[in-house]
Amino acid sequence: MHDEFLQETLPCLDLVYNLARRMVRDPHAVEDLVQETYTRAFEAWTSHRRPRNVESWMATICLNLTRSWLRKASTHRELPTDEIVGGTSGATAESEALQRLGSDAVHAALRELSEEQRAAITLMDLNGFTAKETARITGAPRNTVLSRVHRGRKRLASLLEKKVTIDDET
Amino acid sequence: MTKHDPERNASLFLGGMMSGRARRRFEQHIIGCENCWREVELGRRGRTLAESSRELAPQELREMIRSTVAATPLPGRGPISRKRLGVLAASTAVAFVLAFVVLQPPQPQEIEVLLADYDGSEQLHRGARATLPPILGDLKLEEVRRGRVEEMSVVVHEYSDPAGHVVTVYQSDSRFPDARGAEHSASMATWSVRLNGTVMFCADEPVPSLVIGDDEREVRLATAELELR
Repeated sequence: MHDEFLQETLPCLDLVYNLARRMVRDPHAVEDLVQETYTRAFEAWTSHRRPRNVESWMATICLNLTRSWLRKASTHRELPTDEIVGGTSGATAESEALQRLGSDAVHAALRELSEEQRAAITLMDLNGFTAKETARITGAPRNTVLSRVHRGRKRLASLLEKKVTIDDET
Repeated sequence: MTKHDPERNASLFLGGMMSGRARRRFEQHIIGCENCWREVELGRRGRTLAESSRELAPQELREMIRSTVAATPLPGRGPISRKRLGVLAASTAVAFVLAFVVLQPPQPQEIEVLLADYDGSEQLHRGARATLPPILGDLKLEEVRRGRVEEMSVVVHEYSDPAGHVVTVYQSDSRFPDARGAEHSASMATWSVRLNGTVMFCADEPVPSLVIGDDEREVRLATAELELR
C-alpha cells in the first residue's frame, strides 16, 4: 500500500511544493505543509478513497492546508513582503527582463498578489492545470478563475517592469 | 465577442476559452485595438514570468516524504505477533483468491471517457450550439461541447452554480451504458451512482442523459429541471 501510494503521488511532489512555496513564505512551513499534504493524502488512500485525478486531488489537499495555515498565520503577521528583492537592471522586454531578474524577484512579486490570484496563477501557469481544473480545485467559478489569473499576470508584469525601471535609475 | 471589454476578452483569449471563430475575430481585432493589444501583451508577459518561477522540490524533501509515508502505519494495525502473522498471511491469500474470483470489471469505456471529460481533461470539443436552457435553478450554462465517445455522439452542457459547483449534462441519441456499481430505480429507466465523491445520474427519457456533478443537491436540481426520468 505504501509503495503504491508513493508511486502514484510522488510525481506530484513538484506540483505540491510549488503550490505551498508560492502561497507561504516561511520555508519551514512549506516543508511542513508538503509533508502534511502527503500524510493527509495517505490517510485518505488507506481509507480506499482513491482519486481519479491524483494531481488535482493532491493540489486540492495542499491548497486547503495552506489556506488554513494562512488564516492562522495572519494572526502571527505572516504577511506578504513589502519589497521586491533580487534582480539587476534592464529593459521591459520580457525575455531580457527575465534574464536579468533573479527568480527571487519573481517570487517576491508573486507574493505581492492576493491569495486567490497566487493560487490561480500557481495552479495554471506553474502546474499546467486548465481553467476548468483550477475552478474545481479552488472552488471558484471558471470565469472568476480566468479573471484572477489575468489580473494577477498583469500585476506581476507591472511589478517587475517597475522593479527593472527602479534598478535602471539607481 | 459581443462586448468590447479588453480585460475579459484577453483573459478568455489567453485562457483558451474562445471558440475557433471568436478567436480568429479577436486576433484580427487586437491588431487595430491598442487597449486589447496591451491587455494581451501584459497577460502573456505575466504568464511567462510566472512560468519562469517553477522549481523542483529539493531532493531532501522527496526523501523525507518517502520516510514519513513509509513510517506511517496502516489504520488499525499494531505490532503483529508471529502467530498472527501466519493467520494474516493465510487470510490474505484467501482474500486474494476471493477478490480474483469476484473481481469486478472496470467501468465501461464510455463512462471512463465522460468522467475524464467531467474531471477537466476535456475529451470533447467546444463550440456546439446549446439545446438546453441557459439557466437551471441557480445553475448557469457555462459551455457547450460536442464529440464522439466510442460509438456515441454526445452533446455536453456544462453548468456551474455561484459556489463553483459544476454540473455537466451529457446527452446522446443512444443509451449510456450502466456504470459499474450503479443502483437502478424500480422502473429500471434511471440509475445513479457515487464514485469517489462524484455523483452520476442517468435517465433514458425524454433524451438519453447522463448528469455528473460533485454536489448531489445540484445534480438532483438539474435532473428535476430537465424532467429526466
